[in-house]
Amino acid sequence: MGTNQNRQLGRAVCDGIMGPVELIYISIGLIVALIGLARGYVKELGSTLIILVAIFILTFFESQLSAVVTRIANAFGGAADTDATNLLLSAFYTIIFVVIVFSAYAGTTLNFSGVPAPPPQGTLISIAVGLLNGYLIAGTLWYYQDHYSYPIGQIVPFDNTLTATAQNMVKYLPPTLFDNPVYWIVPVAVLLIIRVRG
Amino acid sequence: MGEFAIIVSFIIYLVFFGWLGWRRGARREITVFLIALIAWLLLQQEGGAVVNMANLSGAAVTFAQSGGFTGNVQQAFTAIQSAPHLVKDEARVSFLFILWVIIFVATYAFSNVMIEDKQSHRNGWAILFGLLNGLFFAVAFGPSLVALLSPNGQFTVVDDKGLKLSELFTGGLQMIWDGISNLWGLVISGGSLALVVILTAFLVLAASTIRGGAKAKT
Repeated sequence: MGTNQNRQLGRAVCDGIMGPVELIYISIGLIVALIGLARGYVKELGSTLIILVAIFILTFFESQLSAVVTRIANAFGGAADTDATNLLLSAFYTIIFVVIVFSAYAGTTLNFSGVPAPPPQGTLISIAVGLLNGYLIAGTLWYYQDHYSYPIGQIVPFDNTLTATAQNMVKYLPPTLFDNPVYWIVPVAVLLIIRVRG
Repeated sequence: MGEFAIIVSFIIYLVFFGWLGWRRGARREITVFLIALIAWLLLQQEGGAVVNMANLSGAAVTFAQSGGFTGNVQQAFTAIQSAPHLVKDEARVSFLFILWVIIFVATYAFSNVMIEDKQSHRNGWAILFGLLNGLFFAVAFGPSLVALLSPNGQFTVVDDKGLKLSELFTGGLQMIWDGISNLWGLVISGGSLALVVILTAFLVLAASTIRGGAKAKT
């Protein structure tokens, strides 16, 4: 499937039955939000911190990382054309991001000491932080499909154009949210200062 | 009124009712909310019976005024038959709406007297239900106040479908959604700086509610 063709595609089809692509990412976001609600915002804030750092690193060094990955792939003959390069880069960033997110949630994680606020404010904050993490994770995963012209279409067939909702939503995916990736480090720095001061 | 002014007014309105809820305490606010909700449901389901009772009261007054207790009973019954209904069909919904508003406001006032301060704790629930009651107030009084204050405003509660809890609920949700949408439009117009300030402020606020130290640990 050609790059330009894939760029316009937003509806995944599997045996002819599948919904708009935004539903997939909204579902991922909601699942993450539910996990956040179950874990509580004291733990979720630690994950938020790591996710924000991951987005900053991946967007700030995107051009350098892309150049290195493409060069290595070319050396091994893995990026024969634009489609292959897009698939490779998309897979590379997605895997790196997923690994970082996994490390933020699994095993020994960066937690914050203390007791969360009692319900209902504690529950509401957990939902809000969970939704933020859901947006950051699902949105970044979507971005690496959208930015590289939906290379997953080379593996799973896509059908139809992006819906009007999806076209509107891709304008606000996390890596495209700020004019400059450096903005991402502001909340990280402020949060870290607060944590260190206790 | 500009969009910015509307958003700010809405936020101030919600903050005021949240603060009022906190001042009054959770038990008072929950009582008001539940009574308002139950009264609405009852008036929706059993509105006909309430209207009949009101009309019956009107008939009793006509009966008394026509000498039903002191004079000719037959004439009094004739007077009842020809007497108009206290609540006419076209005023049915308005009557039930006003009745609900009276119940709502009376509960708000009496809950202050009936429930003692020590029984009504100041916590998050108080703020939450204060906000919900604020939305009830907005939906109940908003349209009529707009009609009152605007030069050519009109407001009517006459509705062929009758009282609808779902409309009250969706009206409240629509109000919140419009507020969020307008706020989002305002934030977006502020560019990256506005977004990063909002994100940072949210995270700082969330972190500041953690009790008993906020040091990071692994």
